[in-house]
Amino acid sequence: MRGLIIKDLLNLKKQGIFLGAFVIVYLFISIQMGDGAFFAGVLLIMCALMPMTAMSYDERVKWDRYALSMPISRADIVVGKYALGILLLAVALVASLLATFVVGDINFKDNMLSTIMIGGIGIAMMSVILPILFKVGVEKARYVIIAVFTAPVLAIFTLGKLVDNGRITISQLGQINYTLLAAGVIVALIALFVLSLLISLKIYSRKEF
Amino acid sequence: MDYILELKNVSKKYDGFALSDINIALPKGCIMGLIGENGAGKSTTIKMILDAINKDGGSISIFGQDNRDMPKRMWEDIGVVLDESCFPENLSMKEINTIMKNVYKQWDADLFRKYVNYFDLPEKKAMKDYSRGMKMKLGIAVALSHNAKLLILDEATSGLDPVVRDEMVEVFMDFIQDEEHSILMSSHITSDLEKACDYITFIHQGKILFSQGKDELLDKYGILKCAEEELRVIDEAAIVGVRKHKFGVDALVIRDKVRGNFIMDRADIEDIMLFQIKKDQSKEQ
Amino acid sequence: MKIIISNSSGQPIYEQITAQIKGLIISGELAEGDALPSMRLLAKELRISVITTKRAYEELEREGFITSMTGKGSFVAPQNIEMIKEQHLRDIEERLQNVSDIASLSGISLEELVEMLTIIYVRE
Repeated sequence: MRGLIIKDLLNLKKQGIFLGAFVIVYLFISIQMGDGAFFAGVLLIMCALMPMTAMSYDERVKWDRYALSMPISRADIVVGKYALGILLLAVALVASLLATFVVGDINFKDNMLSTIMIGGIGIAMMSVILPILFKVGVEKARYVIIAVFTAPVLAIFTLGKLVDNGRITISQLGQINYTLLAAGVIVALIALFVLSLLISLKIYSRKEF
Repeated sequence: MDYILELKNVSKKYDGFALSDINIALPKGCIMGLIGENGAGKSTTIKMILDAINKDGGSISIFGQDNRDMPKRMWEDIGVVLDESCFPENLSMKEINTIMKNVYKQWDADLFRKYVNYFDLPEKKAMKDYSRGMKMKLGIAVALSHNAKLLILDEATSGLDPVVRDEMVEVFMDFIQDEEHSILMSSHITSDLEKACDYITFIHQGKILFSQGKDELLDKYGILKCAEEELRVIDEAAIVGVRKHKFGVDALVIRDKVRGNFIMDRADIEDIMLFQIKKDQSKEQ
Repeated sequence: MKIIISNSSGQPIYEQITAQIKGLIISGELAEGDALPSMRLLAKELRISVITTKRAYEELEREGFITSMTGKGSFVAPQNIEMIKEQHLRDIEERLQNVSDIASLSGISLEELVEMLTIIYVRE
């Protein structure tokens, strides 16, 4: 499995340089806006896209069929993509955490919180996208992916609007037991991730190349 | 276990195409060629051996074990080259070496280097800048660099020029000098198989028409040339297929069953294949 | 050591190999105890199947011309060259008797026979 992750990283190297440029640009924009969360969000989305890009490279050359002849199990291939996702996500989170300091928000707790929240969104997105990719491949999944990516944006937007319209008041928000909520969310995310992994493993075990 | 690879009564059904009664036994120390027209079922058979697709019936065993129950490490001993280069476009040969080092415990980087130099492959170029011939050579270099005992080649030499293909035949025959090694190669370039193979298996429209020793085949058949009337004198059981032309007929015959003095030419593998297909076609009519 | 195979002679390849190796042994070019090339090497160099070379060597071993030891290879067996020659002489005598009988049926003279034999022998 290690070989597979190395392959994906080497494959993404070129893209990585390209993204690196984007990152710097967005970093500047974030500093201008004084909003670290924006940068974190962008970084997150880019890193969440990477496993998908890696898979599209594989698909183009029919790598999977070849990989099956190696001392690698189908499970290795699936787990490898999830591991890649987590790895990149971790890198993105650390980078965005550092960035928030650069941008100017010194409140450590707040920064940590927003970073973790965004990390949670990243895990959720991965959990939804990966099984779809394993099932139908990158090409066919394009539109579904776009929908999945826009969902959190819409959700946050709608939430924001609801708060603005007074439908959800700050005091209501204040009444929520955050610790419980956080615990619940974390449990839900872990469950989602594990479920996603199991579904992907099942899908891939029966796939024909 | 005398057979490194065994397929017993393997079958697979697709829409509009079916493979059935596929029985193949590849002994150690031998090269078997798999021939057949495009779409006959060669690639499907190989994909089933590699467990890339499911079979509907029968069993496949490699090194004496069912190919689906084999522990991961047994695949270290199997080298595969497929008809399309499967290396991601952005990678260079050097990067592929790094990856393979981390995939195969038996990876021999020095041996890989030797083959790469022998094939004259550039180190830093990305796969997308490699020609088809170079990609194939790289695939073969990789397959030979992890101490595999069994090589499975699916149209690995198609698209290569005759000089390169001949080099490959040399490489394969060198591989076979070790009695523990075997090769299964599918190709529609029968001349390559004729040079290198010990056994030839012919798949036609999903069925095996024959699976025999190559020299046995070449000794068994001959191309008889005569006038159409003269053909009638010959025992029908001896005739496999006939090509009529304006000035006579060519017939693929079983040498032993032909009595009398006729002009008999040597039949090569391609002849045997083509005449068998013709016979099949005329039977359908 | 020279071994030349013809694909178009109509004679099975393994027979050609056995015949040529026998010839080399009888003529003395291959002496007792000499190592023969491995079956695989022969197959590779002549571009023929290893099944064929194996068959040829098995045939040679059966007729007592060579001995094979697994792991070591194949070697020229001690030959009774005299005995083989005698066998060939007897063979020739038998056939010459046939030739002579046929010749006398059509009144073909000894000189004509000798001439024919000379031509054939020299051609080979």
